[in-house]
Amino acid sequence: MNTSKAEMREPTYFLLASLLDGPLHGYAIIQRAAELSDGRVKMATGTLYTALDRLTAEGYVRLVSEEIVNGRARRSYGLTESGSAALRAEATRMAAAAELVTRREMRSRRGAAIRKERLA
Amino acid sequence: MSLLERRCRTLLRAYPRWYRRQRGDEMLATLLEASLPGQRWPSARDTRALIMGGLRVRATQDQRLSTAANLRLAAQLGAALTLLFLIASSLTSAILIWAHIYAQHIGSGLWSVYGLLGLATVVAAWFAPRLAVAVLAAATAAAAVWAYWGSGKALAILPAGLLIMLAVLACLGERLPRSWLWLAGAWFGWNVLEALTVLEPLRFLSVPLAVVPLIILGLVAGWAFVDARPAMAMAIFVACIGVVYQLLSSVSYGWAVVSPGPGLLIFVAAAVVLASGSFWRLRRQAVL
Repeated sequence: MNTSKAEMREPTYFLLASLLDGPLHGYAIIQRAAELSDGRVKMATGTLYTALDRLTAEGYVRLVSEEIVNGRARRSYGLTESGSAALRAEATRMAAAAELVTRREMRSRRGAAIRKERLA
Repeated sequence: MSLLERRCRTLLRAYPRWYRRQRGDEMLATLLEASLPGQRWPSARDTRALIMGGLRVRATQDQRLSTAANLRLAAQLGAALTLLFLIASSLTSAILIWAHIYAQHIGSGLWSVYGLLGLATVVAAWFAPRLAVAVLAAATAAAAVWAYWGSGKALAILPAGLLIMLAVLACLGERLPRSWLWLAGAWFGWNVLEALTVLEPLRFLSVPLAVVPLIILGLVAGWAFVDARPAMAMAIFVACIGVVYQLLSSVSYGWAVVSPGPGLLIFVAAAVVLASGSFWRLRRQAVL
C-alpha cells in the first residue's frame, strides 16, 4: 500500500469524496464527483478507470459488489479505511492551508481598519 | 448494437486484450450511460482519455512481471526473431534452388523441411501447448543439423541452440504476448521478400524493402519507452547474427575464407548498446 503523503490531485480527491456516502458504480461516481465539485471535475470514462485502477492498487478503494445490468457487468466501488484516512488527511491539509490564508487576510484587513481609524 | 456502442468498442481497443476482458464491458456500460440521447460519436474528451488510458495500460503491462520474467520473454522473442531470419533464408534458398537461381548443392527439399518445421515451431511458441513446442523444436533442430551437414556443420549450432532456448523458455516461462506478433510477421515477411528480390518480377521491391528494417528498428526503439523487451530481443538478434553466426561461419569454412573483420566489432558494440539500454529501461519498468 502506498503511504506517501504527496498532495492529492483534485479529481482523485473528489473521486474519493464521492464514495463517502457509500459504494457507487462507475457512472454514479462521475456524476457525484461533478456534483460535489460544482461541475469543476468532469471525469472522462477512461480517466475514471485509470484512477480506479491506481486507487485500488494503493488500497484506497475496493470492489464492493458486482452485478449484471442489461447484460453487462456493473461493479460498485467503496472506500477502504486507508482511503477514508487519506481523504480526511487531505481535507485537513487543505483546511489548514486555507485557514493560513484567510487568517492573514483577516489580520491585514483588521490592520488596515485600525490604521484608517487612527488616521481619521 | 448502436453506432455509438460500435465506436466505443473500437476505441476500447486502445487497451490490451487482457484488460478489455476484465474491464471492457464495465467501461462500455459507463460510456453508454454517460452519453446523451441520440449521441452517435464518443465525445472528444472520452476519446482522448480512452486512447491515453489504453496507452498507459499498455506501457505498464510489463510492470506486472518481474525483471527475470521480462528477460525470459525478451530472450524468447530474440530467439524467435533470429530463427525467423534463418528460416526465411532457408525457405527462400529452397525457392531459389527450385527456380534454378542457386546451384543445387543439396536438395531444396531439405531446406524446405527445415524452414517449414522452424516456422511451425516459432508459431507454436505463441499458440500451441508447451509439449508441442518442445516436440517441434526437437524435430527442427534435427532437420537443421541435417540441412547444414552438407555446407557448414558448425552453423547448425546456432539454430539448434536457439531452438533449445526457445523450447526451454516456452516450457518454463510465460507465453509470448500476441501484441508482438506484428513484429515477428513484419520481420519474417521482410526477410523472405528481400531474399526473393533476385527474381526478376520482384526486383522492383529491392529499393523500398531497404527502408523496412530501418522502420522496424525505429518502431522497436520508440516502443522501448513503453516496452523495452522487443529492443532487448533485437539486441539478441544482433548478437546472434552479427557475432555468433559470423564466428561460426569462420569456423565452418575456415578463417582464411570467412574472416570476421572490423564489422564484428560494430555488431558487438551495437548488441551491447542495445542490450544495456533496453535492460536499463526494463529495470525501470518492472516492479520486482
